[in-house]
Formats: sequence, structure tokens, C-alpha cells
Amino acid sequence: MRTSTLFRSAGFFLLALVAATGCSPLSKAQMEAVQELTFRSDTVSRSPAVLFREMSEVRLSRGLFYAASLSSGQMRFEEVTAVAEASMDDESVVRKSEGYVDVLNSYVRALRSVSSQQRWKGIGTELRGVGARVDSVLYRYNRLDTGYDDIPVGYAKMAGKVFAYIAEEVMKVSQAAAVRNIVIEADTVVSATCDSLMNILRCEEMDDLIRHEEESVRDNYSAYLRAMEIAGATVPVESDIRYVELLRQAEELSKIRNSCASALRSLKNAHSKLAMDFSSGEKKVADELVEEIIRFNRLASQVAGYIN
Amino acid sequence: MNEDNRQRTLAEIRRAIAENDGLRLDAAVSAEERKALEEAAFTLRNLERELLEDTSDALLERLESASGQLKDMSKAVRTKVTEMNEPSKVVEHFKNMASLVVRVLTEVARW
Repeated sequence: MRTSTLFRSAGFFLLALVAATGCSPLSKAQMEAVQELTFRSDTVSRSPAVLFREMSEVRLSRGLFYAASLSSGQMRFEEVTAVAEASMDDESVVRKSEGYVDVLNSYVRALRSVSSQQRWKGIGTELRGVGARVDSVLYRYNRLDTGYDDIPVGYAKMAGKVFAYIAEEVMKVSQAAAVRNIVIEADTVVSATCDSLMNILRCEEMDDLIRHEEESVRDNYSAYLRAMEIAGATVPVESDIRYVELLRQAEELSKIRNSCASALRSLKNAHSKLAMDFSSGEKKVADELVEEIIRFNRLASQVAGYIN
Repeated sequence: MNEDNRQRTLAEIRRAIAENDGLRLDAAVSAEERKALEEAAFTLRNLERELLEDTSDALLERLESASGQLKDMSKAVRTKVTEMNEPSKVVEHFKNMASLVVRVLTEVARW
């Protein structure tokens, strides 16, 4: 085929492709909204596991203060051993809870991966690379004294660029379709999971555990101080410092719980809004969705701040 | 142990521990009485630990149930991610083959 015919065909194909990519199921803004939403979701979805971990730490430290209030060596030994064993059991609870909440994380990470620009950029980079390599092969071949005419160099690289562009556009459309379908199909389940996690965070048992830690920190440290007074021992200021840290940690349990529950609601709402827009064929990102994502990111940052 | 019993009992246990501590940490108490009260304190703390474990286990069960629904969906999305990686892998394979040919031709040219 002559070179000019080749270029004309490629040109027509490109025009058809550009027209086809205009029919992508999702707009660039919508893909970016998906990326924004999934950016901090893992912080929030881990929250029940984080609460278990924080409570475990408070429980261990206040338990040691309480053990120090026992005057009998034997009793203190038994109490410290029991505190240590309970702490190991708590670790097991934390690990299990992390495993369970990782399912929502897993979905969010996978969605983030599917909607990432790397999905379509990667293949473009590879194809450009192939074009350049083929040109290198031809250049090396031409340098050999084969007796044949030199094969023209440069066209493979150009073809690589053209095919790279085509592949990128095809991948973008394919990616948008995949993201659209995933978000729509998963929405009911994501909503149900967020609702379940919110219910767990706000349930009476969680309330009770948090309140128990808040009050027991005070009770256990008070017992420690009174025991030291009876024994005539001086309480080092480091103990007071540790107590203050524990009080803060216990206070933050409620804040972590409340922020996480709010963030989960935001995540659920934003995901539902995305699914609704995708189903209706809407290409614009609505103001409510933008606000919901901003709210979600703010709450997730808050949670991350408490955790760290 | 049902929810209501668990809630009342955790609060009650806190009160019981606090009351016992009030008695054992009284300077006027004799050594023998203090020893008995410390044994009672240890028993109450064990009860507290048991209740905390029960409450945590109940929450874990709910977490497990909550995560079940999304498991299959996550798996399907991860499968999709793997499928989307395939074209890039194929192209990378050709790129590597072309690199190999370049190296071979370079070596041949050296002879």
C-alpha cells in the first residue's frame, strides 16, 4: 500500500475514533469525581477496627495503673498477667475487625485502580515504546551489510504514536464503561454496607464500650493514686502525664466514632449520587455531588487526624 | 448474654469495682481485710474483662455479617482490574521482544 494511502486511511480512522470517544459513557470530570471519592475512603472504612485498637490501648494502660494499686505482690502479679492476656485477646479482635472492614477498603481500592489514568496511559506508553524499538531494530538491520536496500526508518515510531493514541482512546472508553457499570452494580451493596457499619458505630454496645473506657480511666487512676498515698509512695509526674494522655485518648473515642459515622454517610450519599447520575446518562458532575465529596474528604481528614 | 443485661452489667461492674476500691483503699482497713478486698477486686476485674470480651465479640459478629455482602462485589472488581491489565502486558511483551532483537542485531553487527 502506498504511503499516502496509508496516511489517508489512518486519518479517516482517527476522525472516526475521535467521534466515537465523544460518546464515552462518562465525562472526564465524572472519572475525577470517582478518584476523589476513593482517595480517602480507606481511612473511614477502617474506623470500627481503629476504635477497637484505641480502646485496647486505653484498657491496657489503665489496667496497669489499677494493678499498681494492689498492695499484695501475688495479686498484682495475677492482675498484670490477666491484663496482658486480655490485651493479647484484644489484639486478636482488632485483627479480625481489620479483616472484615478490609472488604469495603478492597472495593474502594479496586474502584480507584479501575478509574486511574494509568489504565489508559500505560498502554499508550508501551505502544510508543514498541514503535521506537521497531525503528531501532530497522536501524540496526540497516547498519548490517546485507546487500539489500535500507528499510526506511521513522515510520514505525510514527505508527507507534498513532496506535498509542488510538489505544489510549479505546481504553478510556472501555475504562469509563467499566467504572460506570461497577458503580451502578455495587451501589446497593455499598449503601447496605455503609448502613451496617454506621449502625455498628452508633449501636448501644459501642456506646457502652466507649463510656466504660472513659469512666474506667478515671476510676483506675484514682485507685492507683489512693494506693500510693496509703503506701506513702511518691507518684512520679510521668504517671500524671500518662493519665492525661489516656484521658485524651478516651475522649477522642467518641469523636472518632461520630466523625466516622458521618463520613460513612457522606460516602454512601456520594456513591449513590454517582450511580444515579451514571444510570441517567448525566455527564455533568452536580453541585450536590461536589459538596458531598468535599464534606466526605473533610470528615475523612478529621478521622485521619484523630487516628494519627 | 443479651444486650440489656450486658449494658446494665458493665455499668454495675464499674460501680461494684469502685465501691470495693473505696473499701480496700481506706487507710483504716487491716492487712487481712485489705487482702480479702484485693481478691474481690481481682474477681470483679475478671468479670469486667469477660463482659468486655462478650461485647466485643458481639460487635465482631455484626462486622462479619456487614462485610459479607460486599466480598463478592470486590472480587468482581478486582477481576475486572486484572482483565484491564492484560492488553498492556501483551504490548509490553512485544516491546521486550523488539528490545531483544535490537540487542541481537547489535551483537551481529559487531562481528
